[in-house]
Amino acid sequence: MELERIQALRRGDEATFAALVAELDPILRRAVRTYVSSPAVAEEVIQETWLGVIRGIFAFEGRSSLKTWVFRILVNRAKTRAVRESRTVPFSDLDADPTDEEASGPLVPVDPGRSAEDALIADEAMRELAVAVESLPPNLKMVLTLRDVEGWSSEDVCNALGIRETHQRVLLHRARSRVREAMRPYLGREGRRA
Amino acid sequence: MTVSGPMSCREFSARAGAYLDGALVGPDLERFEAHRDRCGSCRAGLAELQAIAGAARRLRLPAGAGDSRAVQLFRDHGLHAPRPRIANLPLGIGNQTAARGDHIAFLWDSEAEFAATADFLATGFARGEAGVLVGHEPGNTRILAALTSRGANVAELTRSGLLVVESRRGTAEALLAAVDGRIKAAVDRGLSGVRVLGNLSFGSPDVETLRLEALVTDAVRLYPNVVLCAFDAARVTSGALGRDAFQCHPMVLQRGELRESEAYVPAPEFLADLDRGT
Repeated sequence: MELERIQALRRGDEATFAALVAELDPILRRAVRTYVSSPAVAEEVIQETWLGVIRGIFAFEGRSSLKTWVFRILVNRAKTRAVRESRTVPFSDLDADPTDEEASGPLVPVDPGRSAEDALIADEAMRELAVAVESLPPNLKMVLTLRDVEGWSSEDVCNALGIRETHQRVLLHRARSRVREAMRPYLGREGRRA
Repeated sequence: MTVSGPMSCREFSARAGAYLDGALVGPDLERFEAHRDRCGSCRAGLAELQAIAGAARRLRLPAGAGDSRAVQLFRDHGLHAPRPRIANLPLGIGNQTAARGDHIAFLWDSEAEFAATADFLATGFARGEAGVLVGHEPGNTRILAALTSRGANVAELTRSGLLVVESRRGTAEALLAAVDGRIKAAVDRGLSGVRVLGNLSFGSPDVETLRLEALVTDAVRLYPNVVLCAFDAARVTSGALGRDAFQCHPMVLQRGELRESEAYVPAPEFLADLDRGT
């Protein structure tokens, strides 16, 4: 499946590429803002990332998953830009395209179903949950978003962010614990810790 | 770390992340589950963490606005994007000219013709281009000797990074990535082009060599480079080498004439055939 996708990209299948972009663009937009603050620079990094994917797909060795590889390209470029950006005043903020801001905007709850997590899935609780996730420090937010919102495996997240599994687990646990504290009113019990 | 005895609430909390990740095994898992079954408040706390993780799955990220721009990049810069072939680079062998992105099978008939592959590289150096030599040690050695006999200072070229020798190793993708990195580095340095000379096919080509040859054609198309792969013509006529030379190379150079290979098979089809073992 993954191999077929890589081969399709190599032979220039536009639909496969468009599907990959649709799948990863939201999380890439979120991730890039962890590293660079300027929306204009973030947009550039996103475009550079896709260009890197287009140019690098032939040499991609498939040691990690495709999405992890794309994510790594983004993280590396974003870090490079972040270093440069930190030495300059982000003038570009002022003339940024407003849709960029929107595109990397806050998490929104999907219409909640009825089956599980009954205490949390009421509309209001879900809005609060989104706010609680948004309020996390960037590294915790990134790990929780990849693992719990996007459903990535632990291995993929470690590869994507270049961190060790134990570190990833600590960040995730910390993130979930913080969100749980914020969600305490909705969880219906007070003061217990695990 | 394995601790015996019952688990404390503090340790339970520290291990909850690993448990939820399915990373607790053996005695650690047993002790964790024993505590969970025994301690109501830890059990409830764990359930809350699971509920947070489960509820977060119902959140979604807003769709990106940049899709169409990325797809346009793919159209403009994808390796498949058709480009006119403009042959204006002196090959250095005979009086032939090659085009940027050419992947050529050079079928040599004599030792003198094999040694002429050094002229291909030397012509590039004279034009301010970099050279990458990829192949088995014996062939590399012969080509370097031929370069020296043509007055090139191999040591100096190597020191300055203009000449790089890559020996055959690992998977097709690994070697391709190494060559790709060399080419990008040269382009980043502002060199006007890169000449890649391959002498991979002394024996019968293995599957990895065929995969490499098939992938190279599209991989190099983007760059200002020419890839010339040397084949012993006498051996090409007999079977497997012919497949490598004629099916993987869009261009063939033989007896001083550069022409399109009529038997060329585009990489996706070639690789699919290779996977089927045909």
